[in-house]
Amino acid sequence: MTSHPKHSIASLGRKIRSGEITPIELAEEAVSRLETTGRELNAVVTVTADLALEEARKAEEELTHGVDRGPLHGIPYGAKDLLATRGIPTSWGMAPFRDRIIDEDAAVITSLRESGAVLAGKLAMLEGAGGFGYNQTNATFTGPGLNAVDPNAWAGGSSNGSGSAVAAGCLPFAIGTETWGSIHIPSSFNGLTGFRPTYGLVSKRGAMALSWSMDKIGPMCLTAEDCGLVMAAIASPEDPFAGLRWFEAPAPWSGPLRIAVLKGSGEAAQPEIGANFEASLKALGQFASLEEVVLPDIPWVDLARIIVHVEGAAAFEVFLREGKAAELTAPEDRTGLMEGFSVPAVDYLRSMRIRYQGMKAMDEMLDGFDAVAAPAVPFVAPPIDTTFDRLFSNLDVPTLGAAGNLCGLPSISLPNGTGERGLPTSLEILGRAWDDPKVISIGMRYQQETG
Amino acid sequence: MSEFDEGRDLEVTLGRVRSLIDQDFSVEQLDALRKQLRETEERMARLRQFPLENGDQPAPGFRPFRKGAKGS
Repeated sequence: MTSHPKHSIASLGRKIRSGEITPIELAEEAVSRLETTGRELNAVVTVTADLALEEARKAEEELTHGVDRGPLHGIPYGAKDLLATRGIPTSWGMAPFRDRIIDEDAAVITSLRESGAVLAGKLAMLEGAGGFGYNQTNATFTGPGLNAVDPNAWAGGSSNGSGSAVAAGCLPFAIGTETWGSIHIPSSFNGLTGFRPTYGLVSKRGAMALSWSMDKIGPMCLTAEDCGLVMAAIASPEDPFAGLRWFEAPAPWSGPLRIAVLKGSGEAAQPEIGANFEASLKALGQFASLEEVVLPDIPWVDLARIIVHVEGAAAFEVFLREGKAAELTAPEDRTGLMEGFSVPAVDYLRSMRIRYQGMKAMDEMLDGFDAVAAPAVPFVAPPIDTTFDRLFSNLDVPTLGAAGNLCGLPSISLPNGTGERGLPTSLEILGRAWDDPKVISIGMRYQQETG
Repeated sequence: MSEFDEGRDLEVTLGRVRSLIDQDFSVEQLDALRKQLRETEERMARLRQFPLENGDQPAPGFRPFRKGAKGS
């Protein structure tokens, strides 16, 4: 079998069109790698071999007859197992749902199929996208997500399978989702480029809901360019802000650029991450002016927790009321989200009112800037046997995670070196709402400059 | 400082939440739920200190519905 691990979408597209490889060969290779490496990393829920070969055969036939659906045509991918797929189980990472079939395709799956992409597998994730408050890596029925760089480390969450499967070369890209860190954390931990779109830009129809006001769907790829190619396929052509014009072909940013630097974010991270961030700023400084800014003084973490717990308790109300949480994998998840029932409506609305103040403050902070930079995650992937109460106990350090997610802002995580135990670290670039193409273009420029 | 520090209100809230859920809780699970409820109460108490004006509205997050429209 031809071996094409860790090739970008763009390069595979060129190989397909030059005849060097066929969509069927790529699909067979993806299926084989998912069944071997993917399984070893606990990255896979279902390998969709039959569907992959059927879609690959169709792609090959179309391309042979001059029907070209664009850059994703014939490219295999994986979808986090919270996206519904007709005729294939959709588990949400939760043991009680491991055999459940939601007999429709999520909007993202439909969009990718129309773009000619080939679904090769449904990928592992933390149960309920981590919303039940896991405190260990073994919080899904597929087992702890192992890191593709070092299987003794965690792959991150909640899109752990999307992160490790792409980083291990099983697939050129995968779809992840993020409520609060679930694209950027596994992307950063596995050395991928991950993109979290503006809230609402990608349709959530057919996706599991954890927090209706915070859930987002986005690509996890090898490069920023690939993120742009996938976004062009899955982004809604409509948006409530007339400023967004999605590009036909992503290109590195070439105009003047003013990037804010989040004050204190490098210092608050692990030392190697801080040093890598400084090096990234030097690289950014080659093509952008930089100026420090301070994260608005808003209780971001308290807000995010209250909102996720209340919306999560509502989304899983029937599941919780029927006592189904007792069947979840992680013991601590069996009481998770129930605290959401204790929050009075006034307190939830207060959180949403403060959140709006935060949105306006972040927009003001970004006024005059094209984007803001910070380390994507202030620590590298922890050992696989880690418990998280200590790791996540101090999230009030200056990071863009809670603020960016609460405000629904687009951001990209870009690998920028290694840290403790040789594990990957990342830079995050976050832009203003609906500046998604610009954020991806800045990421492309950064990757162009840093090789 | 939360009123939950006295413990009495925490047990009332715990009882109310338990009554909603058809599940047998172990002693450990009840302790975990108490911890979650206490932390939630502490978060709400901190957020109640945030200065808001009467006109400060909630974050926009819901769209008008029309069948067939994107995102509906």
